[in-house]
Amino acid sequence: MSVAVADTCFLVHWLRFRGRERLFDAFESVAVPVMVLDEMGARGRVMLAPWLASRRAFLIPRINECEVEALRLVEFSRSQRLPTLDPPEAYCLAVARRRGYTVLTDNKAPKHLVHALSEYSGVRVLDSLDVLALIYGSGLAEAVKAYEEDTGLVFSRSRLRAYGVEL
Amino acid sequence: MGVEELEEFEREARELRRRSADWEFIEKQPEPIKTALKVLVETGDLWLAAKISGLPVDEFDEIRIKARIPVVV
Repeated sequence: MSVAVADTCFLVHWLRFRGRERLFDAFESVAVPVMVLDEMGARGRVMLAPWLASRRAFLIPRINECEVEALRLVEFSRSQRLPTLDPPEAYCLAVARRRGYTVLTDNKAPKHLVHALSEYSGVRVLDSLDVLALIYGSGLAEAVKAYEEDTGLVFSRSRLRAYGVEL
Repeated sequence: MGVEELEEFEREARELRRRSADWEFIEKQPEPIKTALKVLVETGDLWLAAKISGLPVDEFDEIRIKARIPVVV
């Protein structure tokens, strides 16, 4: 199983999901950049603590080289009129490319960027629907309902149809 | 998802956020929370909106849920 690096928004929502522990059915461990941890308040940190304590999640320090690369990616996405790429997800992409990790994010921008920048074409980017599909397979419809209830997220109906789910 | 599909997705998502939002709740919030919630409705960018609010992302997300603004994925 692979290692994933999680962006702030993905983590905030996934930690609220009743089935959050099942993330480790899909990934051996989850890397959390310190930049991402710094974006979280008390609740998020408390929810994340058991994962960190059990070493299923681990912190990635600020790496100057990745921060500079993140800025380059933010500038590139602006110049190409791609969807807005926020610094933490840009940082996750920079780390993922160097370490071979999967990026977990609920924003559209990273998925577009890996198509637009050839050196990032090998980086795998998944959002929460992709991860739910990986974990739950034929039980995806129930998982989607639970995820939407727990997090206040709404999945695009056309994307759900592509996964064979009609709610 | 191509550029046109993305633009269509963003348009639909924005409409859903505008329709679903509890505007009375939003208008009652102190600044800069009120502005941050409005930015979220228009852009869908939770991280940016949280930055504007001055709150950690998870704390701002709690307010987002109370404001009934869906994050569309």
